[in-house]
Amino acid sequence: MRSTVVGLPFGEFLILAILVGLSIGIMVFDRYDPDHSPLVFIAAPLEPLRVLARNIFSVRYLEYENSILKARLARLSYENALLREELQRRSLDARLLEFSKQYPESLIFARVMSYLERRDGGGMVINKGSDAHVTTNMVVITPNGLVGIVTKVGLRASQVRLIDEPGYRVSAMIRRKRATGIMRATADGRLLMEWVAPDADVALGDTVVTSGLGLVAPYGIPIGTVVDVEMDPQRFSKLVEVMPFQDPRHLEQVGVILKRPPDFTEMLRQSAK
Amino acid sequence: MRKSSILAFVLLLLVLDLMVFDRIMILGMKPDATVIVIVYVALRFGCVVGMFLGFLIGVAQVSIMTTASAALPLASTIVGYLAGRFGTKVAFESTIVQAVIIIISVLILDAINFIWLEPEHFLFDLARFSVGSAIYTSIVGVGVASLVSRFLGQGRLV
Repeated sequence: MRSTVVGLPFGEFLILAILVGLSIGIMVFDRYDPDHSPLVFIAAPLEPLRVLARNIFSVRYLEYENSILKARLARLSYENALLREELQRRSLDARLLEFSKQYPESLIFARVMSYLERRDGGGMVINKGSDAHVTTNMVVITPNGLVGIVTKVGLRASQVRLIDEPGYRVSAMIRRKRATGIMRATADGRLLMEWVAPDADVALGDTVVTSGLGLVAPYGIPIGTVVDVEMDPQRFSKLVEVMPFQDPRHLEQVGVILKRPPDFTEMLRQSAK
Repeated sequence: MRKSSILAFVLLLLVLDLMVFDRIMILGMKPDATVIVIVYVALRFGCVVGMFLGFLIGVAQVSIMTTASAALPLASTIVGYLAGRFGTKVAFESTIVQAVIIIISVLILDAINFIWLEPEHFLFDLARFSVGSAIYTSIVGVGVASLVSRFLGQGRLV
């Protein structure tokens, strides 16, 4: 039936032979004399298609190249983020290192591991414990100022009570006029300096630092600035509200002053002897 | 009715070849849309149409794509002829038979190309590149043919 398409006996073979012959001719020309290949004449009217095909291949190559560049960009962005993080960490380390010169041989760095809810005791957990000679009542600081005090110590971690948590008290001083008082935190997280002399010259914006009295916190650690001053008629003293220099709940690294506070009971016992 | 199915099939394959096949390469192998077209046209219309179509597609490929092998017209012509001549003598309505025909066609096409390009390595190249490509092409070809037949609702493609 199909040979009737051609209408000749062995029509299929005849067509096959012709097409094969043409194909072989194309191959021979292409190998030995490509400049005079019949394909050159065939390709001339097909030039628009050739351009189209070239453009399609160009688009495909661009897509391929684009995908590679996107992947490379993603990798570089990731590396850039890592480097920025490392730079920030090193910058923080450098600041802490500079700061530690004020406390030679007594300051260690600790990384903040977590912040606890108030029902869990509150405060922060740092990654240094008794194996790094950390004990309770040690002062925790950053270059920006006071953070809190160590309240519980484990082998490789410690819990720190923050300065804005109720129950925290520290002896403080208005640096400009040397007026002293007791700093404590209210239930809503405000810092109040109590027992300031009624005639003390306290102005808004004054810097408040630790006074060193009580021998728990060393002298001169910054705490914050004065934002409000009022008289406390019950205690006949001034009540000073202080805004801390830093939010103690957004820290990554802190320093622990390894200087143990003195044991007053032991000191009294020895002096009695 | 079936001619429209074939036309839809060829157009779909052309679109897939341009837009999809490059993205679904597996280990550097992609389906050969031209073989699928030649085989299905040859099975549907016979060896004369098949080898004419193969020859024209081969010449077009060599003319348009500067990187195409000059043996493509010969290889495509022979594939079109063999698929139309012998494929119609078997139960080509079976999907498995169609897949086998496509696999053999890809192997023949690649064998002729490799003999022309690198005759000393053609067996190695055939084993390394063509077997996987032939299986992949047959799966895609049969799949696309089934889809066209099903969605057009005009019975089997061949």
